[in-house]
Amino acid sequence: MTLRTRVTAAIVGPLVTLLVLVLLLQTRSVLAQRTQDVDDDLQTRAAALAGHIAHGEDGWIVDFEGGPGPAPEVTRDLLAWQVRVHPDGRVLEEHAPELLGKIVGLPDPTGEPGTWTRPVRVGGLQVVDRTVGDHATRAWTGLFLARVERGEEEMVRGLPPDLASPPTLQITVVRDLAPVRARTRALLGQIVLLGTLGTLAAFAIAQVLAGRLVRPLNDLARDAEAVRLPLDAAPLAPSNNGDEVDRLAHTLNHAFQRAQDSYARQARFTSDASHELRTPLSVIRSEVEVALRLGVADLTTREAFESVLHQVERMQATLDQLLCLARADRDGARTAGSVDLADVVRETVDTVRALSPSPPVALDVPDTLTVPADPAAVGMIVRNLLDNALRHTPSTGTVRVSLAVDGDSVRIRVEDDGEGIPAEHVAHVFERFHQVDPSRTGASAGLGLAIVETLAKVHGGTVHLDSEPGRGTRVEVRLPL
Amino acid sequence: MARILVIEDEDRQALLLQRGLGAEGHTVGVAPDGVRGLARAQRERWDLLVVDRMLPGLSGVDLCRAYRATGGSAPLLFLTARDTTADVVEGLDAGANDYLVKPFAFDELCARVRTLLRRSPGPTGARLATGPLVLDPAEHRAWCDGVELELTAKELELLHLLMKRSGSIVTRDALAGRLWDLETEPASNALEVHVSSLRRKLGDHGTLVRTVRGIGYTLREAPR
Repeated sequence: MTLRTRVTAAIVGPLVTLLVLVLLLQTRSVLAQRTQDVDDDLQTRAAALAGHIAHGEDGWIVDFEGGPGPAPEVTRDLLAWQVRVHPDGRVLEEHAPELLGKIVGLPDPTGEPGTWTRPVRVGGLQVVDRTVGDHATRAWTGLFLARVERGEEEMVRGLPPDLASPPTLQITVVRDLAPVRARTRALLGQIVLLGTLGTLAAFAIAQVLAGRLVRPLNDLARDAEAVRLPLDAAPLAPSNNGDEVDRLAHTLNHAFQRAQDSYARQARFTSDASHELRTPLSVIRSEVEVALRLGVADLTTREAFESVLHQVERMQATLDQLLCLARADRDGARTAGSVDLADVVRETVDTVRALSPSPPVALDVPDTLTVPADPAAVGMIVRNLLDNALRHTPSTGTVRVSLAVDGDSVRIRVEDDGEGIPAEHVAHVFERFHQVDPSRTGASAGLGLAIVETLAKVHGGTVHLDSEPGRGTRVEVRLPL
Repeated sequence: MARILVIEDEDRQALLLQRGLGAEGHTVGVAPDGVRGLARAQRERWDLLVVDRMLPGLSGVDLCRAYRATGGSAPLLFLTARDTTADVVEGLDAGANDYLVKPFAFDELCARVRTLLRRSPGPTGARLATGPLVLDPAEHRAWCDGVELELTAKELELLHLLMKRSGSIVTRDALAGRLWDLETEPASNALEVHVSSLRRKLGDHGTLVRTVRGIGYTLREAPR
């Protein structure tokens, strides 16, 4: 997980949690308010119905002004309603009784004497939610005293003066909840939308913030990756503003400087070692060669001198290879200029042919093929591959060298039909000082393929080796163009 | 035969060079450090200088520069234990004609010495000859084994530069600097392309033009 992702998560996490919490509380309160609103509305309507009670010739009636039948403004939006008189439970008026559901008779609270200015709910309450047909309904039942103060103009209509008190009314009203629920759903949808938008906004802001925080680190990392040894001055430019990134830049510069010091020591060591080893070796070689040139009469002495010369040559070859590896390890991916690989291959083959004319070397190279690589290094690669192939191929065999562009890389292939390499050794042939046959002396120090691999790698290339004992070996080096 | 000055601080190596080259019939003088070596090189007439790259007092490169700056014209061969491209190019740019990495095969030293001694700078305009090759700068014509070569202007110029310094290594920069103006920077492999086509036209003698890996080219007969 990148730092940017982590910072984003750290910002978005608490922010979104807080947002969700607030929205949940809000939703809860909205839902509660909705329920309260519905009940208030039902109570108001029930009270309005109670206000239409009147005493007619046959006793109590519900009197909608303008004649019998429900008054639109009172019963509008009600699916069903019913008015009963306590204590006998007689139904005075009802509408759509099939939608009323089971109505429980509420106990008569016995209205207390007092002053009533309007129909007032006096007690008992029953709320029933049920689904009838397609309708989600709420049935609300309550008890009302239908009475106004005696002596005032606004009396219960038609009430004879001798009647002691008006009755208690049990009123049930039923409403369809669908429109309310639809509004609630719409509101919840809005809350979810708000939550989603809020989360997205929080994420976007966090991304920007995290990006801003991480950018100097990324810049520093990119600069640090581009640093190559040897260094020129301070490789990274610190902002010197004292923040953490600045501190990191200073720390990295310090580390690079230490690497540079050790690099310089290593370079000096390699150079000194090559000088210190080559100078005496050169004297030994000249000593023997000059002596042989001037003439050594004694056969035993001559043999001894020739043996010394042979061993010096071996030592010199190993020293050259070690220095080559040391330089490749030290210099890494520095590529010095470009080189005509076709020319290198042709000339290496010419040189090798001059030294040992058999086995024959078949050559397949284009006229020119320039690659960005260190000329000495590619020369070494080709020479080592060729030496290796020739050493393991009988004079009756053939070594094939080919060079071709393959995609965005150059492929150098050297194949022979020689003795091949036993399977258990194939995995180890690129190890330094690995010998397939340790009993063979004088052939090589086992550094050839290690050098090929190291040099190919520092040029960003690869080496692949296929071998079959008795059939031959094929080595392919690929270098990027 | 020839007078050769060996400037080498390692006594035994100097002595062996003196003995070995002496056996070839040359008169060999020896100087043990850079300062005395430069003095002797300037004081006497020499056909060839063999100089160790690392000398006490005055380095081989500085000696070479000083020698060339004072008009010294004898060919100069570097012996060096340092064989990096940068080391070699520095030496050649200082005015050396060739270099040999220590430890060297004495046979090879003798072959290089012979080549450098054979080298005939000749006045400009005169016909040049190296092995089977003949070039006439005035007429802009060249022959190989007596057969006239059909060369482009660039190829002829390239051959001319190599033949003028036959036996010596001519660095890539030196060649490119003469073949192209600084303003018209050639493609990175233009030199290789011209060398390659020159070699093709030389046929069997194409190998006379030898690549000195990473450094330049030289016109030289194959060793051994």
